[in-house]
Parts: sequence; structure tokens; C-alpha cells
Amino acid sequence: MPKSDRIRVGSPLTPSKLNEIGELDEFPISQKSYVPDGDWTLIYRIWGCHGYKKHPNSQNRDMGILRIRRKTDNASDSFTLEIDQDTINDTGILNQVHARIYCAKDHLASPKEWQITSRFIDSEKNLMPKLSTEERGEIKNNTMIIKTKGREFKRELSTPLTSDWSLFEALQRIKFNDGSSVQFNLLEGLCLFKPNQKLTYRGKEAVKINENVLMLHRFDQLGEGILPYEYWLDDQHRLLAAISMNKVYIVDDQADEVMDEQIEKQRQRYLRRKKK
Amino acid sequence: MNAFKNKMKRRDFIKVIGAAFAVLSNGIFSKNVFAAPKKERPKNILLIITDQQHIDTIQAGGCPHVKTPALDRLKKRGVSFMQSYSTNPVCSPARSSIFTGRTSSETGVYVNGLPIRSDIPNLGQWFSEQAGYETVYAGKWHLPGTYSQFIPGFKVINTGISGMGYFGDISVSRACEGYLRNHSKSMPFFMVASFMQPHDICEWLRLNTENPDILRYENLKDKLPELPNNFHYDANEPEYVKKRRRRVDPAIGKWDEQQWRYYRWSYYRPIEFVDAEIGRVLQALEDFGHAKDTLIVFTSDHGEGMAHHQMVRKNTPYDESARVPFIISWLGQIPENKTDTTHLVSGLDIMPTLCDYASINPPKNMRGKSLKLMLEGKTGNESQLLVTELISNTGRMLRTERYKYVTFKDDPVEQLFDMQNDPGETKNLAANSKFSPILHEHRKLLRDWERQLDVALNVPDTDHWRKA
Repeated sequence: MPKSDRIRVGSPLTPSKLNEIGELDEFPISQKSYVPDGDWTLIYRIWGCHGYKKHPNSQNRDMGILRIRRKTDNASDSFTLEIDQDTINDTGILNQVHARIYCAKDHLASPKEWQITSRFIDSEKNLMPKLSTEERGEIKNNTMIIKTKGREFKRELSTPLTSDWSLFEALQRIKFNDGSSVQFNLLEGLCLFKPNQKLTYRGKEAVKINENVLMLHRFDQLGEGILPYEYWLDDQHRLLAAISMNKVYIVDDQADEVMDEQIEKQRQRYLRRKKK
Repeated sequence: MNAFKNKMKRRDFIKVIGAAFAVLSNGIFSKNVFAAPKKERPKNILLIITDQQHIDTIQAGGCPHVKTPALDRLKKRGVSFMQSYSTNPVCSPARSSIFTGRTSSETGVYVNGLPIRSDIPNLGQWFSEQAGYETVYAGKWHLPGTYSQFIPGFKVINTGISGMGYFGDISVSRACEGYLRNHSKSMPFFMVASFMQPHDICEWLRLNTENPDILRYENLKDKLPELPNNFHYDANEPEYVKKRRRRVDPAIGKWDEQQWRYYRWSYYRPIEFVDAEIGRVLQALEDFGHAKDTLIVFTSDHGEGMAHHQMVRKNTPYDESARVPFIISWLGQIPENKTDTTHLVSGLDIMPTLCDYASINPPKNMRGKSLKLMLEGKTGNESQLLVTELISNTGRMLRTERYKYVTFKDDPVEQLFDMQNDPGETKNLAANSKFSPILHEHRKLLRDWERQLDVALNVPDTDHWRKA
């Protein structure tokens, strides 16, 4: 089908819109046993929209996977988030980020200490060692201390502070109060400081998935260095989707399989070009 | 390719002979007599490119709508050229000029997705073969593949994700960061960090074409940027320009003022996003001891309409689409925190400037100029002229110090703007008989400029421009 046949989405992405444009067939059903401040694992498929409805040439595609594991520790004043985020670049270069974050038991899950690694796997499945990074970080008195390769770096920050991954946890513990908001600074990817963030509860909205109507809770986040985020949660406070313009995180237990397919697809692109 | 290698051998031969002569003569001439002035050359080069970033998007440059701490810092450490133009305000053609120092009609990249003519070397080929740099590339290429692992002259360390700068740019900057952290200081590098953002404004437009009754985030109401002063335009325009306006999202969605202003606000968000990713690369450069040894160039392939002249996206000769940031910095060698508001520069100047700093000859037939003397404050008052080509070789924009002249093939409507008195390009003077001599002069300047070009065989309508 020619590219000229592509149809613009026309209006911002929401769970209903994703279903309407043919990019979301089903939405995970609420688990009644879900406890936001307990032990849990959530797996998000990260999907990108090129602005067109479903079409063979839409260029919409699955871009990665985010896995967040929450582990409680009753004896400590912190809990742990284990993060695995894979990004599938065009032609199959894979960026794998792993982080272990020790978060304060506060309303923002403020990161206290962490370890983070980033590594790249090339299209022929080989590690690219010259691109790997590994560091330890901690925050003390508004100073971030990073230790890597035998060196130490200090950067001043302002609090209250959370990370984008911690926020996925923290907003599941926020009460659903109309118009209430939380202000904070963001340490995106445990690296990039993005201040003046505001998270606001927008109430309950009807979300239509095929013939079913779900009532989901929506939070909006606006702030420096980001495009607006919209978070969609069920009554159990489980974060089902995070949508920021053309970038979508959707809870998806099948995300691993989808990612394997996408990696293979991109690697095939690479091999075809290599042959040329 | 063989030609480059042969040339290198000749250069090496000359170097060896020169060194031998210096050793032999050491006992005869005093060092002071024989010593040439020491030529500083940057150990490393970092070229940062964004996609679709208009020049007026940097807080330290006076833009009140964004926070850009990384670009602010870079701007304060170097020289910013304010009269900086894209050579062709669309992705691939503009990039072909940045990477070769040749016009898009010469590289053969007159539309998106074409390869650079094979006999023209790119920066990677030239700097690896002529100067021994380790040349690495991360991010968007688009010559021809948007993201490719097979870029002549470069080792690709990451690609990115086509059309998804908002996610892909993160792993582009992470790859650069990883490289800079692990790189041995003994080997000079030439790194290209080529980001997709703020190009995702194109996705935003497709996701916001319809004109909603209410603002999606009501608390933004008082924070939306005003409409630009040149929102209203002179309707005496070439048909090509009118057509572009008719076909894009605001016309389709019949936008009201609020939607236009929301679009402007939304364009600045990916600017802030990519600024942070640039910041990650610059931080790694500093943390791991490369900052003082690295010459940095920052630019973009083309600009963005931003509601000026009621335009969105690119591909028009108006300044919003055609003007791009151009910052050059090298600590201790290039003046800091300096803004050049007079000199006309473009992507064509990058290859000759970097060659000059690296003390190597540029490839033949450079259409731009080295900015090195200018950066050292050693230039005179030479006449200034700059040409921007337009997609499919259909049009030309010629800038002189005071005027901008625009012409399209098979279109009787020309444009002439007095950029000194009307920088917003709101009064087309082309039909005003008082300006006939200036119009004639600019037509001739364009014709003369066209005749020096060695246009690629695949480019259409070549004769039109030579004879025009």
C-alpha cells in the first residue's frame, strides 16, 4: 500500500484512540489482588506512533520494553526497584539498561542510592564493550554523587526529586483526589535533571476498548525537558499505560515475545542492507 | 576512494621529506630561524546535529519559551552565528551539504533519501583518511537510509529509531556517552551525534491536526507563546509556497489562534528534551577529560515554521524554515560567548572550517568557506552571498547582506525582502519598480553562482538555473 494512503490520527493518543486506530486490541484487566506498595512486577511494551493510523507503511512500531520489579523491605526505610529497559534501535542495535534503585519510602519514591549499567548489543548479537557504562549513584543533601571508573563526580540538585522509573511506582500510591497535584524535580534515567515537574490528578475517564467501556483514572505531568505525560490507572491503582505524545508504555505480559519479533525484524533489515 | 588514498600517500611523502629536511638542517640553521609558528589543531571534533531546530530556540540566545541549559552552556563557550542558513531546508539535501561542503544539487541529493554522489567525499572519509581521526557516528543519517550502519567513512555506534526521536535519541546519546567514557585519549576522534529531535513535531502535527474546542491541559492557557509578529504575511507569494500552506495540518484542521499557540508551545518541548540529551554528551566530554581538546560544532539541518507566515514544518525559503543554529566552540582557541550577527554562514562552511582547524586541505570544489579567520577576528569586508536551494531543485533563495531574493522555476512571482527593515519578511518588494535594480542585481548574482556548480547528473532542471 502506498504511503499516500496513510491516514493521520488527527487527535492525541489515549487508550481509546489507540484502540480506535487499530493499534490496541485488548487492554489488561484489573487484578483485584494488586497492592501498589507490595511486591510486584509490571512489564510495559514501549510503542511509538508516527502519527498515522494502522497501515503497512505507518512506521508505527514497538520500540522497547520496560520491566519494573518492586521489592519491599519491611526492616529498612527504603524499598527496591529493579529496572530493565531495552531499546530496539533501527537495524537491530539493542541498548539494555539495568538499574537497581533504593527508594525512600516517601510519596515520590525518591531515589537514595542506585546502580545502573548501560550496554549495547550489535545487530549480530555481539556486545559493544566500548559503549558500556556502569556507575553507582547516591543523593546526599541535594548533591548527587556518581562513582564510575574509579572516579567520583558531584552535581548539585534540588529536591524533592524522583526518577522517571520511580515515578511509575510512586504515582500508584497517590490518592485519587480531583485536582490534587504533586510538584517535584525529575532525574530522568538517573542522569538528566529536569526540574519543575507537576503531576495532577484529572479524574476518572471512560475508555472504550472495542465494545467494552473501562473507567480509568488519569494523571497529567507537565514540566521542563519533557513532553506532557498522561498516566492511566485502574481502580486498583495499577498503572496500565503512560502516554507522552507519540511514545506509549502499555502494560503487556506478552511484551517479551513482541520484542523478540521486533529485534529479529530489525536484524533482518540489517542483514539485507549488509548483503547490498 | 582510491583518489583519496593516493592523495594521502602524496601528503605523507611530503611530510616525510619535510621531517627529514628538518632533521638534516637542525645543525645548520638555528631553531628560531627554521621554526614555523605552532599550529594548534583540535585533538578531537564533535559535530552535534539536531533535526528541524530553528535558530531562535536557545534560551541564552534570547528565546523566552524554552529552558536549554546545555545549549546555553555551549553558546557561552563559543561563537554563535545568527545569520546561519540551511543549504536546502529539508533533511537529506541539507545533510548532504553539511557532510560534504557541496550544494545539494552537486551532491545529487535534491530530495530526501538519496545517496551522496560517489565521487564526493564526506567528513568521515576525509577526516579518517586525511587526518587519522577515528570517525564514529551515532543517530540519524538519511543519506540515503534514515538510520544506517553502513555510512562511508564512519564506524556507526548506534542508529536511533526512525521518526521517534523522543525515545531513540536517548540511546543515541547513551552510545556517545559510553564511547566518550571508554575512549583512550591517545586516539583522536571525530564524533557525529545526530539527534532526531525536535523533528517529532511532525508526529505532533499528525496527532493534533484536528482543532479541539478546549486546550488539553487547561493550566497552560496563560503560558502559551503569543503568535509571531509575522503570522500575517504578504500574499504575493510563489505558488509553491501557497501550496505548502494549503496542504498542511493547520489548514486541514482549520486551526484557531489557541491551537496555533499550543503548537508553538509544543514545538519547544522536544527542544528541551534534546537539549538534555546533548547535555549528556557534553557532560561525558567534560567528565572524562576531552573538553579542552575537542572542537564542537552544533547545527541543525533545517528549521521549523513555528506559525510564522502561518507555516508549519520546513521546506520553504522563509527564515523560520531556513535559518538554523550554528555554534562553534573550542575552549581556549575560539572566542567565548560571542555572537556574530553579520556574517552569512551555512552548512557548506562546516567541511572547509573543520579542515582548516585540522590543518588539512579540504576536498576540491568547496562552495563554502573556512570560518577560522572570521572566528579569529581577521576578516575584512568581503562581499557576502549565500544560496539556499529548495526541494526537487525547484527554487532558490539568495541572501545578500541586506536582501533576500526568492525565485521558483516556472513561477512569475518572485520575492524580495529587505532583511534590514523587514526581518520578518512581510513585504514582498519584488513588484515594486523602485527595487528593480536590486532585483536585477540579485538575479545576476544567482545566475553567476549557479554557473560555478558541478551539478550531479541525476538532478532535474539544471539548465533552468544556469540560464535563468
